[in-house]
Amino acid sequence: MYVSQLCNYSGVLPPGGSTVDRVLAVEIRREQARTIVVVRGELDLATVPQFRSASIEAASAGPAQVVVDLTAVDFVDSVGVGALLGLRRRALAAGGSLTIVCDEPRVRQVLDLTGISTVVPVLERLDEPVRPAE
Amino acid sequence: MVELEFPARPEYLALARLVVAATASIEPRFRDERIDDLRVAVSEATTNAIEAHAHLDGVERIHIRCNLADDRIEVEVQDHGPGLDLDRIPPMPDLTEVEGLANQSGFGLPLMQILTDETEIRSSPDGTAVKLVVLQRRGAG
Repeated sequence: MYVSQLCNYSGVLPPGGSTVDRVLAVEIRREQARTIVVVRGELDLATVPQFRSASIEAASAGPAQVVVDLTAVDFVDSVGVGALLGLRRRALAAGGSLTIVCDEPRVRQVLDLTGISTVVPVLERLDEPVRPAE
Repeated sequence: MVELEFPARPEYLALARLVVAATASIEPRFRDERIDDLRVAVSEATTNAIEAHAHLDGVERIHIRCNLADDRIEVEVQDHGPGLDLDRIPPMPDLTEVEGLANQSGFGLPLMQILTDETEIRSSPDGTAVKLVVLQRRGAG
């Protein structure tokens, strides 16, 4: 059975609905075997608090096999990488794991230079089979 | 020279990156990859500058100056925080070690050094100036 829960994390929530923050939007989708965190925008000191809130929600219930989809992210710096490590820690604490999906070379470069790609598998597509991190 | 001054608040980070990248783009010989490197390095330096002001009363301002030449761009990020006590830029945390994994910070300064051709940090009780130099072509070493 496919179960999905859409949670939109944004900087400001107007009455009567949700809105996409100008620089970051985070959506959580619950599937039967995994939780997908879809991130859109830029991950830096300004937007990491929103991502952190979503991370707590993502790892708190549902499948703890968490996949962070960064294919719609066009910028990540070291503060963003720190937040991804935080999500990894929460997923592991819940008995799960973290996988990152990233197909943007400049984002992938930051993941590689900081070394997070040595401890978190990085896929180019959401449906790509997961190989253990080298 | 292009100069930018803004409050030391996180919401201005995107603006800092935008202005510096746009300045570098003026020189057509700068490849996109080098400009991307500069964007990250500026984000790191500006993040450090914002965090240096975090415990101060009031809102200080950060100055960014960009000097664009034929073969290079020099960006200086100046804050007025309490200063860094650094003799050298620390190494990147080793995430293959447990201690490194527990550390969700400490990547910024080594990342600046890796992504730029020169990184110079001048710190005093009146503030810190970080100078980043990116050559049109990535230098050796």
